[in-house]
Amino acid sequence: MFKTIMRKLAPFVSIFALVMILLFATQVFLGNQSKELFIIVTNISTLLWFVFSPFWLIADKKKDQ
Amino acid sequence: MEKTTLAKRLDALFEFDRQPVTEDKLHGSGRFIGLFAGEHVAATEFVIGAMFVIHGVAAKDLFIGLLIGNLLAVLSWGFIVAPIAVRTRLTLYWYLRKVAGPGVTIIYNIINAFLYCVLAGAMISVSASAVGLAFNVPTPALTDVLPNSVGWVVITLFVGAIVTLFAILGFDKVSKFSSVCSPWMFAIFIAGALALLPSLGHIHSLSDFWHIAETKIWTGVPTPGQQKYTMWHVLFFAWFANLAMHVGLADMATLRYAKNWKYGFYSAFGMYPGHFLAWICSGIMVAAVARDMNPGMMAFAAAGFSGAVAVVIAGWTTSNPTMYRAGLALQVVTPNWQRWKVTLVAGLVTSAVACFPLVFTRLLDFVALYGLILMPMGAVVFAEHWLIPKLGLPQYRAETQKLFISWPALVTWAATLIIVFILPLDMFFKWLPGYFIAQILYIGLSYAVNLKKA
Repeated sequence: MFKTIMRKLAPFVSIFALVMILLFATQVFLGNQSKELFIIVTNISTLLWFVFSPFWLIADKKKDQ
Repeated sequence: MEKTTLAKRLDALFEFDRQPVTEDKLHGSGRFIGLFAGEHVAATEFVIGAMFVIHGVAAKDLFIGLLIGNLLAVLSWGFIVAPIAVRTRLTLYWYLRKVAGPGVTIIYNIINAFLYCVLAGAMISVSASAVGLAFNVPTPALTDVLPNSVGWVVITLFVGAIVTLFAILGFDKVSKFSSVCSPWMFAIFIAGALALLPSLGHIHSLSDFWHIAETKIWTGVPTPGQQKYTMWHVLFFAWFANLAMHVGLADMATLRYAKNWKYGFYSAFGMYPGHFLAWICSGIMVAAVARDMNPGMMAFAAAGFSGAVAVVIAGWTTSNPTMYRAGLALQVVTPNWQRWKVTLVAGLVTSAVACFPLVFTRLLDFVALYGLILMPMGAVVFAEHWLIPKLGLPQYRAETQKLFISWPALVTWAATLIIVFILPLDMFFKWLPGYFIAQILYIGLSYAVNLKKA
């Protein structure tokens, strides 16, 4: 049950994490956001990516094999 | 007797892929797009893009060189390796065995193993530069050949030991982990460069960016003591960065599963994000840290802790399969050794190599040398596959006559390398004339052998 929910949720959360990294970097580039906040967001997003992405990326690979 | 045993041992290692791939095992486009996209954002990208800045490449030269060079690399995948892979459905190992005999494949494997160790060593050095940040250990300077401190040696050996340990414990798990890392690592490259750009100047338009690119990043002025690179250096580097894979035909291993030879062109999904965008991003990062060639520092300045972690993971996940391949190739000369023992030896060699900063400060030269050394065998296989039958010469002599060594192939390899090393050209440009020299030599020697037999 837990795995099924995680597998459905994981792609959305991990892609959201990557989008956040790129979005905040763009904001820093445009001068709308501080670099410090970007680094905090990047660290949290990195954590989210590594927690959630294995649920769908590695699971999909197993299915392929 | 001994040489036959050696050949049998090597064959046993590659036994699982001895047969051509069958129709039901072929993969579709998506698999290849993912494979190429995931493979070409690695630790070395942090160094290569930065090196172009250090070597004083001008902005226009960089963009033109990368666009054309990567296009040529994609065309090499599409027109050189993919058609042969799809027609034979074999790995380079088995095809080379048919063409050049088991003796040549043994030599090829041992040389390849050593080159893999140096490559993995470079990646470990890149990781060590990030780990060193935490312990305040300075990364060696660009001019350093020997280790610059005891701290650097200790950290490099420590990182090497961890990588070796994981390679021994389970290559498969690390390979799965690395597939998870690729998209995130690419995001860190892009985000890091975007976040550091404002430190180089205000950008409100494309022309502002171009002005900063020309005056602050790719200025055309090399760091003192470094060779000046031109558009041709960038173009040739982008083309030969994976020479062993396309012109050298090593990617037959993956492309033999392709439904169509045109899948070779999907390499563009690896080249343009990895060898175009990521190299540009690492160039921006090094310019933003005043050209301090320290991958760990660059990434930390760009994306904080996540950036430093990206460098460590990039080095680890790319050195791991390289070390595994080196171990596999070395197994032929280590009779009755268990896999863990061979991997341990490969790891020790790699870790020792990684201590010498030369492997990453001269990474571009090493990449050129790596491709150059293996390229003649790609030329031999290409000539055997396409040209020898058209010239009415017998194909696969080594296989049909059960030769241990095909002398035309071995002599071509050695002679080509001697000729190209004598050629008064920069290391970056030697491989192209060398490729044609190798083909002409191989065809000439095959003719001579055929005449002698007749």
